Amino acid sequence: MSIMEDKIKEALATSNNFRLFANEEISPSTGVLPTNESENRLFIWQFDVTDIRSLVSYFNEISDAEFNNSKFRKIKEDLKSIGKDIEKNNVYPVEAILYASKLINNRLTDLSLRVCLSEVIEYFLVRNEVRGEKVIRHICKNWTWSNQQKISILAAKALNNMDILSLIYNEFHDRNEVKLECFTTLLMSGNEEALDMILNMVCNLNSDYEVDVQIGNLFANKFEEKFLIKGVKSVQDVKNSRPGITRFGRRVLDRIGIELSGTDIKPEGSNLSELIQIARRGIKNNEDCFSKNFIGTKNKRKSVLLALRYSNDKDYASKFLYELYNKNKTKIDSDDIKDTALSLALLGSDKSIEICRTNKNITDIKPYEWGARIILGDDSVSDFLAKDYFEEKIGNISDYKKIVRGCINRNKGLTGKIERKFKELIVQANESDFCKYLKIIKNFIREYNNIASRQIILDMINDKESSLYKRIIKSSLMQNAIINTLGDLVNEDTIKLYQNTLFLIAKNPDFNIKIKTKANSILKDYIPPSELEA
Amino acid sequence: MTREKGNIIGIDLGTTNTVIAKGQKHIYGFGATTIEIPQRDETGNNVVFSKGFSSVLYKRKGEKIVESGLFAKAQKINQPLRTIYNTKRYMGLEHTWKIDDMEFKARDVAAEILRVCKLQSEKTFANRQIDGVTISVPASFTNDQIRDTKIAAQKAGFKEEQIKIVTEPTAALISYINELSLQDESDREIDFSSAKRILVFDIGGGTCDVCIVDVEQNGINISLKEKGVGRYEELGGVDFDERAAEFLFNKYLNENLINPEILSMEERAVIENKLVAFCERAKEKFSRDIELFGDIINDEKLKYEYIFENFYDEKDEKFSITKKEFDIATSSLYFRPKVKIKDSTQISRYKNIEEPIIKTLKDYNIDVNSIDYVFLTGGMSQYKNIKERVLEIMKLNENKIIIAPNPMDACAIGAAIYHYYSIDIDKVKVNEKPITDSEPTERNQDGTSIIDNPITSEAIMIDLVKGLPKVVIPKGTQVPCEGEIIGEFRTASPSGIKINLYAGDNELDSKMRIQRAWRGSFDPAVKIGTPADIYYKIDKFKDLTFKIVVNDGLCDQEFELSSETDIKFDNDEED
Repeated sequence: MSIMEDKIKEALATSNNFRLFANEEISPSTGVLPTNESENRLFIWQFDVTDIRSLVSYFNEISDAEFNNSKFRKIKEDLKSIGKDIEKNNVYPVEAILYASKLINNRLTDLSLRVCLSEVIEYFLVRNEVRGEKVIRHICKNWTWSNQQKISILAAKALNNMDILSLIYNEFHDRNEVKLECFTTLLMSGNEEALDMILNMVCNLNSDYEVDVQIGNLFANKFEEKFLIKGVKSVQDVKNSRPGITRFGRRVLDRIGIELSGTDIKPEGSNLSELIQIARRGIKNNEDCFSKNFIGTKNKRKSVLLALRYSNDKDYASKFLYELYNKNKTKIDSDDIKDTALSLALLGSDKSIEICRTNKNITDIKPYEWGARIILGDDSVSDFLAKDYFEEKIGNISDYKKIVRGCINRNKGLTGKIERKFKELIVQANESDFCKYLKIIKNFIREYNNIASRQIILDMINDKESSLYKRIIKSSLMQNAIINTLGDLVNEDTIKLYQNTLFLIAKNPDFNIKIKTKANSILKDYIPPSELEA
Repeated sequence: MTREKGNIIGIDLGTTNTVIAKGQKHIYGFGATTIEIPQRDETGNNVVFSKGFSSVLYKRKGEKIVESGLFAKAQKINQPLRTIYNTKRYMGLEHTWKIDDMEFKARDVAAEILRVCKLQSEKTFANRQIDGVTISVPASFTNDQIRDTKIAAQKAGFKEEQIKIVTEPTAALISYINELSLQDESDREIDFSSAKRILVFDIGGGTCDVCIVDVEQNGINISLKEKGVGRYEELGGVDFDERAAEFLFNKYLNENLINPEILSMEERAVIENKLVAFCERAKEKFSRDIELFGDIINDEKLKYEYIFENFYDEKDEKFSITKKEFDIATSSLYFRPKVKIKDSTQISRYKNIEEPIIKTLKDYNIDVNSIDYVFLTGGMSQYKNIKERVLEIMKLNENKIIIAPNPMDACAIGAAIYHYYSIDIDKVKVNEKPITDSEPTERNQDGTSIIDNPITSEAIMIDLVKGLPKVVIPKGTQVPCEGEIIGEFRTASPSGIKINLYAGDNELDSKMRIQRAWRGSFDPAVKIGTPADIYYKIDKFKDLTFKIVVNDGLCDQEFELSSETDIKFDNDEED
């Protein structure tokens, strides 16, 4: 017998029941294969009624619960346990869990809850990747429930399977309601084969959409950490060669690779994400790395100042930074001094205030001193910061954004003060200031997603007796600013809050026709049609 | 108003074969005969007349037209990638097949076949117009599938008001009862003067229906009441052929030491089609031989052989299969698997004729002992083993099983007769009394009537923004029916509504199927929380119309889901 015959026999032995029909799903054969296969079964896995009943009763039980970290831990444990019971009947539980989660759809606007459920799904995906891939593919292609798809997409990163990532990109990259999850999964996969898809999404970002702004921020914060130098190089290539990048897309891309200058690329400790990792490991044994970068280019210095904030040994880091500053204070510019002050404050050092005071010659350093004091626990200056956040008499908005970002989690009252200051200023603002303040508060709301702040804007329209309302109805500019702000803030999660005001504008003879039409179009075009409520 | 002596046809639009019958009135009552259809034979050189024709489309390279019938069927073997067939299973779905630049969905394939039916029928009526057509469909066809069938008939040139739908089991039963009614009462096989419960088991080329019907004949009136309808089971003669073909394929690989991995998709498709066609012929031969010789010939000696020229790799190949081998290869199709299959993608591998029977009895809580007779119909019912196994499952004696006299023609004949009743009914409506929805009596001019009470085989559910889908029309609802759901639903978006319908036992059913998905836009925008009332109607052909009325106190906005507004799958919603 020839070797070839042996090999064939071996192949045949392993394919004793070789299927003649290549595609079991298209059985019986239809001659030519279909170019698109639509599917009408809702579930792949045929769970028992008892399985789904236990999930239904669990989700009903938690539908009014207060969610916090310990509750999330409990939910994960409970669902894993119910899922494992279902697995005992040889049923893969992912579809059943997600299907039953429709019972808490109104709570699934909460990202933390979605992440919690996605971790449960991830757990089962990892337990059986073959089944997991099949189910995720089915859900992405055939289900229409965006909350459940969001959870599945987030969980799918556990599979880190390029076919699935491509499917997710193809199905969701241009669907506003799920594109953030799609982007998150592609980005967090760290899979270099997904780079083209990620950069393609970024190139098409549009700052008019809140979700695109979120994607931009996520990209700027996580991209380098996930894709390191190769990613940064790809960004440079895209920037240099791809036509048709949106203005906002280009701005987002510009936030990557600020450490790169010319050809001076070092393999270790040369970009922000690496410096952050080093700072987390400890400063003591890596002082040289930070020192060298500090005296390098401006961008490298900026990275050092940001990275040191992540140090686990804050005392040591603050002392090290203060020394670094003192050694080089004559070589650095005013921006570096301001950033140094803020970093020192965030590391808990009052040297930050000292630096601000000794650099009084820098005209816009005062807000940094307020910021440092607020971070270190002194609330007495937060009113000044809130006021000038809008007025920009001393600093400018980019400084304030940085300072507020540093302070907001360390001073619980700051948000309220900013809101109150906005209310106070907006009442008397002239047309141009009115537009400016509205833009600032809109960006504040978008960044910190504060419900109370959202209400402020509505109050301006809802109180028809107020002097502000009377001014607004006389000014096209002010009406325009309001309707554009509402347009920027409305999404599926917030529509219930804004709908009354939008209907009020749309049907109110006090507003000019263009504004009324725009209000109607926000209601009709910005929120997709939805299933009914029972 | 329909003419009294209209040109009436019934069409059994089968998965593998389509049969047409024309209705006739005669002195004893009424009946129907099948129409012989001229078509090119397998060689393409001769025209032959045949009762039915294959539901296969073939498109010759470079030509703009498609062909169906015997010649098209023959092309399955040599040019499988230029043929489309077995598409009945995809009615109601958006699968698309493409040959050259022509695209077809299942309803387009059906339309093409119905177009041929219309043309040929008109010829038998001396080129006069068809006045009415009844198309038979599986009892468990959902409203999506029925809607696709009606769309196909309209595309074929039938006018909407001419089209009627009847379920295949009902049509086959009507054909049988009609034939009985022509006999002397003393000669009749079954006495329907008292109600009899019949389990109709209809296994055709590609579909398998189980339907439990109470039949009663009171003088000249016949009442058919559906008591249970099995869910759509995609099982039929083709599955038997495919299993046997797979057996032969493995045998061939082993005997010729061919590594299956080296076969291209096209080579595999050609082999598949050749072997499936071979097994179909073998099965037909076995049935014929048994009919002729009874059980005299041993299953091992019942054999079919054929030499394929240029089977593979430019070699001719002789294939043979005995009935015993065929039965072994297809044995799993007769029995429920011992283990419950939970992965639905694997279910087609484990389908069988036992499950739909047992499940229908169980779902409708019908005691097997209450079944008086089993009525076997459909092309595959001619195969001896099917009859034996059904008797075994039902634990019935042989005298309790009735095999439709002409199972290949029964549906088409019954459909034609059914339409005949309907024509006369129109007259009754005008001259006598209106028909109530609860008891849709269809009365013949001579006074005979059929009371046909079909029921829905699945519940219809509507998706909600929060919560599991809600049943709006329960399973087992007698049709025709209409209803309204007022005050239970509200809008959840200012811009419009998204309606996703599902079919299944209830909201906990893991076999639930996605039905229509549809969205409508409000103009002007409507506040979230505005009441949305639902009005639905299922006509006697199980065609569902769904209307949503949204009223925000200023104006009504109505949205109707019907075949005209139809309808996209949600995958297309971004278009």
